[in-house]
Amino acid sequence: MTIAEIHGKSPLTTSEDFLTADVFTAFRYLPADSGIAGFLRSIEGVPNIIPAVSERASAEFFFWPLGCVGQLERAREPDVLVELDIDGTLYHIVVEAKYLSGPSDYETVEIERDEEIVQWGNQLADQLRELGRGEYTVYQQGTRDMPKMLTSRRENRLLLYLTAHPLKPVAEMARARALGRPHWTSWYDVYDYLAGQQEHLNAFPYNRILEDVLTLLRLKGFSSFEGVAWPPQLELDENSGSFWLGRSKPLPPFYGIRQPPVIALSVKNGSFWKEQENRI
Amino acid sequence: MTESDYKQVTGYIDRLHADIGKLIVLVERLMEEEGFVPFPSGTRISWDLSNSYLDPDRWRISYIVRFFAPAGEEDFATSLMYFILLETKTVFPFPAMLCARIDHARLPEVELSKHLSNVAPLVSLAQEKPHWGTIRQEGGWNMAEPAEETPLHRLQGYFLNLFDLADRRQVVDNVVMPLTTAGAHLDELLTVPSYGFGTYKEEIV
Repeated sequence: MTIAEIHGKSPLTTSEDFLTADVFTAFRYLPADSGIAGFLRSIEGVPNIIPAVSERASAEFFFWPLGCVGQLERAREPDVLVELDIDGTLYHIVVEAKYLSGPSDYETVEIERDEEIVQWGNQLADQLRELGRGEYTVYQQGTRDMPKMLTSRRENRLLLYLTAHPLKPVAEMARARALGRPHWTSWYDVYDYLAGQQEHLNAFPYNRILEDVLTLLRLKGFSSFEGVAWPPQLELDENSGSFWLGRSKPLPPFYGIRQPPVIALSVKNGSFWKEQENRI
Repeated sequence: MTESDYKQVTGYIDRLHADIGKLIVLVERLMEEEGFVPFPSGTRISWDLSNSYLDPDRWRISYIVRFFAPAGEEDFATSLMYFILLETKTVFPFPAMLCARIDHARLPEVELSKHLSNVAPLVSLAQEKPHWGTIRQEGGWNMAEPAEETPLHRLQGYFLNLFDLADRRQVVDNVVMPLTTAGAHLDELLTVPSYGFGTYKEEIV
């Protein structure tokens, strides 16, 4: 869907699932060391869990797994389960991604899990509990019916809350704190990390994969600070010097709306202020 | 397709706001990494806007200000701040960014906010006759002291040209590090030109 969306052909530009799929599909096709593993290690606190990786590292992606095996009441469906294999040691990362919505919390209820009654309803807390349990059902050939039991050590598992917040959503994170500490990152950080890989991953097909996903993130406004755009070249009236000071206060009576200054022809090829947005 | 002059100008204003928005987010993150948290004003960046039809001069934002305090300290004697001027009544031919450390009486944030909410003295630093008692230079910094008795004792800072900040590195070097590194000579830190108070006189870095 990345290509469709960046060419204006997708009606689903606000879809959280499509954004998640587009970005993690890119990660799926990039080398694990400079792709998903490198990105995860760029997140605060994660290098304490996931060690530096070599080119031998591999990653498996399971999209929209179910946080249980068989029928279980109120099981959660995180967006991605990533299985990293680093020198024979497994690491599991559950990604809960958000775009325009907040966490899927509901009124806390008491339900039975592992022969104990637990509080259920906070999405991140529920997913932390499921991650600790380590039983998922994942898709296989288009059908979600394959049990996936995590064999990693519990300390090698982490929940990643990926949101559109430019700054950490402290309150949302705090509500899950009783069961552990989810890690947080944002789509802006994804953009920054992938943009930083362009110089390194400059050969086909990785350069194309990066170019497309960066364009998508940029169109969605997730690029970081890259300077302040210069104004257009204005041709000012030599007699006045400043076109906006052409009439003096007080405002009334109304003489009409002033015309904008004339933009020099050299910058009138389309919309100059959109050029930077579309540039990678 | 060529856009009209009207769309070019209006589109530029939208683009300018978007770029500054990203700059603000970046500074918030960097300041937090250095152990400083914003005053408890949420995401608010200005108290200047109006949506009244009687006040069209205030429909567009004219300044942006953020204050920072040392994390975990209830009362403190120095606040950090930046102040971006987006109005035309200044001596600068560009959008100017004042970066400053303010020494003040040791006060809690709520009390301090009342004294800092009046931005007129800050605006005046970008005008020909700043409304301050004394202005001098020290250690590369521009020092301003109020003319009257006030809990705000001294402001030390400098102006930047917003267009000079091109990436994260320049924001770290020219905004965050000078503000958070007490006692440093300003000239040893900055990598882009800075400007003094009340005059447009370019300083070579």
